[in-house]
Amino acid sequence: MCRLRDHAQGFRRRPFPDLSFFISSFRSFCQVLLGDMGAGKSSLALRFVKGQFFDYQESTIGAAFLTQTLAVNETTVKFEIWDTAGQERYHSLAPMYYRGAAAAIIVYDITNADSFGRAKKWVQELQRQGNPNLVMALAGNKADLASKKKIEAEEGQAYAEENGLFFMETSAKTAQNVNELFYEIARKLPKAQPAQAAGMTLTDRSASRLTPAKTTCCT
Amino acid sequence: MRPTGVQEALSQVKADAKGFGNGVANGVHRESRHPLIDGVVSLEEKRDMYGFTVRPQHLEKYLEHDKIYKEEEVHRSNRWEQFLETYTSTSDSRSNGRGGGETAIEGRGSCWGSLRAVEQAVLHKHSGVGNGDAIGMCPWAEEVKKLVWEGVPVSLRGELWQIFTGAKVRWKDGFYQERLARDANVVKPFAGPVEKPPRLEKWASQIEKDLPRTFPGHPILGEDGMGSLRRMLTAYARHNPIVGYCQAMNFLGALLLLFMPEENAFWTLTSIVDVYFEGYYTEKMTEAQVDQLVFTQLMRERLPKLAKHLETVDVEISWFTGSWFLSIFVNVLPWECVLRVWDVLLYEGNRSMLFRTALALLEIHAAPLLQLHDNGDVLSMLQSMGETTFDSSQLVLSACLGFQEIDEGRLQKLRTRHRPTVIAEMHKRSLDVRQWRTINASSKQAINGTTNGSVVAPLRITQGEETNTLKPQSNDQRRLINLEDEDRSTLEPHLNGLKGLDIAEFEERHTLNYQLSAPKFFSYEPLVSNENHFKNEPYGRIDETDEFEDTESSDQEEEISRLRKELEHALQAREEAECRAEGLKHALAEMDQNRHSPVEMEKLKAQNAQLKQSLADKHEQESATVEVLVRLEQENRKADDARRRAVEKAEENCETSARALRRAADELEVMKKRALAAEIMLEAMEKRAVMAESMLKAVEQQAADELRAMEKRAVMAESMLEATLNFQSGSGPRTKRGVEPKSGALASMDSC
Repeated sequence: MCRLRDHAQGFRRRPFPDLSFFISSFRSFCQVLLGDMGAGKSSLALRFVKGQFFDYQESTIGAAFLTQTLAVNETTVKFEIWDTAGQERYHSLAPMYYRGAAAAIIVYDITNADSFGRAKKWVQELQRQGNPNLVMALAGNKADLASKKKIEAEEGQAYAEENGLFFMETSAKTAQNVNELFYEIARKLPKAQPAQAAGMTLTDRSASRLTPAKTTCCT
Repeated sequence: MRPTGVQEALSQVKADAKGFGNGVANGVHRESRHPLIDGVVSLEEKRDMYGFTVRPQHLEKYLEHDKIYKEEEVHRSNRWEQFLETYTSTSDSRSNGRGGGETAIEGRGSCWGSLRAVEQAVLHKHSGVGNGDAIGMCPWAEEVKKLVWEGVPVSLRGELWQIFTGAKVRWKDGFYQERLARDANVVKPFAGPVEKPPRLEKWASQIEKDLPRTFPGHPILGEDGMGSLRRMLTAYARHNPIVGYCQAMNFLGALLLLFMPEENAFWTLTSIVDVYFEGYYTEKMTEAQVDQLVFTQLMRERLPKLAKHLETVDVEISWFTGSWFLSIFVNVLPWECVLRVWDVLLYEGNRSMLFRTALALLEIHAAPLLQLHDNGDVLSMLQSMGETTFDSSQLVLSACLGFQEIDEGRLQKLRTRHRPTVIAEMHKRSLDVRQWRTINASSKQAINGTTNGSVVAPLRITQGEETNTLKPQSNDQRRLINLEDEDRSTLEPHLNGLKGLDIAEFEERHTLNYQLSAPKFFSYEPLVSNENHFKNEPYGRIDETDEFEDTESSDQEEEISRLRKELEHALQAREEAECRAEGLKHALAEMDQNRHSPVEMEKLKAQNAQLKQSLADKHEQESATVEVLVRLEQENRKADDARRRAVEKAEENCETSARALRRAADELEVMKKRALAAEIMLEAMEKRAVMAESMLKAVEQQAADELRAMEKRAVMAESMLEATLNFQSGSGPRTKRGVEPKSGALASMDSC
């Protein structure tokens, strides 16, 4: 058994029979949604994948997996999304979902300053993982609640620029910038693909790993 | 003495085939019963009989199974009724009328008394005396187990769950109200510029966020229901600050509220989180992670083919089972299945049913999973397969029967084996964080030129009388670790002593633990870090929140307010501790009653040790047997493989010979064709030969004709010559001369 894997972490070639030559090109990649509880991670994912929105989205326990396939610039892209639980203590489970992800969306709630602080901590944590190829996006969600805004877009933008992320204010409720956010990630991804094997730390996985080489949530 | 409550409830169920709402109504919601819970209305609203939304894509399948559910419900109601009728009188005579418990349901005139038979069976099971032992023997324990496997009738679920979890035994009058009342008089000694709300309020805001996100739209969780849930979760957070509030508990609590009154639900939740899921919902979720390693191993043993397949497509099962376990399958399986699984899980008194259910679920869906070879497809299927598993009986029975040997003993052993890995990993991660932070901090310091420590240190020392241990930031962590070691050494004798007495008495143990360590250990998060004592793990404080601490807390004022807050927490914690000390005294008094003399204690300890030894031996035997079985299975598999290979080879051989045959046939065909062609050619040649012959004959004929004609002409010429000669001269020389011209004429003719 050969491991069908591109060089970049989180990318994956299709298994045989590979029919991808019928379409101009096919990519699937794994991304993870991180952020404080109630920031709107699940709502963003649900809006993007199913076009739905609920005022009260059930709290996520552990993590949930969703997929969406879309054409982006003549490329068919399959988004494989891990939507994680937001409560701080679930943070201990997060590494198994973000390790090996090709992209991470860090979500905060523009009406909640604490959630912005927590988003920063997520950025730090991901930077500490030292995967230079990880595409990171910062999403200031609930843009529809402009009157209750606590974090200005400029602040988010400045922090994102400082840390090499791209930034968008989104609203899962009105669908504002939701597709754009995911599209932008897809557009950024091929550029992030390195020339050689990703230099991510492959060693700090728990013993639950079946083989040392298996490091990705979606491979 | 007729147990009217139960009988009534049961007959109600039987009378009304779609009377599932009655079960719910039988609990606290008797008055506030919502019409949506009744079968017919619920379907219009796309809600199931428990009031939960049915996803439109599963509606058809749900309706199909709904009939089966109802039939099963009637059947099991009958069975339980029969059982209770048979055993009620027996158990009543044996009942020892344990105090305290009755109060749990007194207020609502329930049928508790009639369920003593079940209670005894559960007590018997929990006491661990059994397996043919005459003392404490409960003859119907086995029957209760079977009944639980088949499911608990909706009308009895609330009561039975409380019995199973021992909520009745834990019940303390006024305890719940006291936890809630503390709201009003939260001690605020430093009511100065503390911007952030105190620690308890952190839970409150989290609970508040999750309340409307718990089964949104469920008829039971209206304003009143949410109020109940809020109180329950708050009271729990105050009762056990080590856990506080963890997402998932909102779902567990809400589910309990569906079947019992608020205070009863509180005690049941307490029992589930403190005993069944000890160490699961804590800040570090250690046990939740340990269980994932255990499950991965079990899956490799029990479903090797599927495990291998998942490995091939790079999927780790723990990505899903983590959520399954933490939510106890709520929102993973259809509701009928969730409740059936809960019936068994709660009955058993531990969480081993999680493993069996997960294995059964994977086994049921193994075949289609094995067909998928794309990582994303497998992940999608694992995500969605739970909610399509409507056959609750198949799931529960294959879990209980198919994976019977996965019991708490086995799991404990495996957990002990895997726990160090998890703890080491967490330790390593927190070390990494510290290293990273040190590097960051030093680079920042190099830029700023001022150190935080020097500014902060005196402040901390002034607070030292209260906190006793706080030191400048740089040494802080190490100090805490040392402290904790000290704490552990002081604690261990107590813990061991307690272990010797009654392992099941979790709460007392952790109260003691808390009480002993809290005054000494007022740090940023005193209660959370106690988790380690509790586990007696060989690692120091691994403060998770640490990773999320701000790296650049250079602001002096911030420090002060932080310290203030710490102090406040400490005081609060102390208050908490005092409250607990009260309870502890109680418990100790009770324990003293049980402990007659040190000698007896020693005896008991010795007995305990013996029992442990024999248990260990048994486990060893069991594992040996399992090993043998595994080996046998492996051999079997090998043999199978060999057979398969042989068959494959034979098939291959057959194929090659067939191919050869086919090739030969092809060749033959070609030869035949060639032969045919040759024949045709031969024929053509023959024809040509015949033609040639006839041509030859014709030529010969012509030649002969010509010859004859020549001869004639020769004769004619001779005769003419002779005549000429005769005419010219005499006889002698005439003859001689006559011959010569003739031959000359012939030669000339030939040359012609």
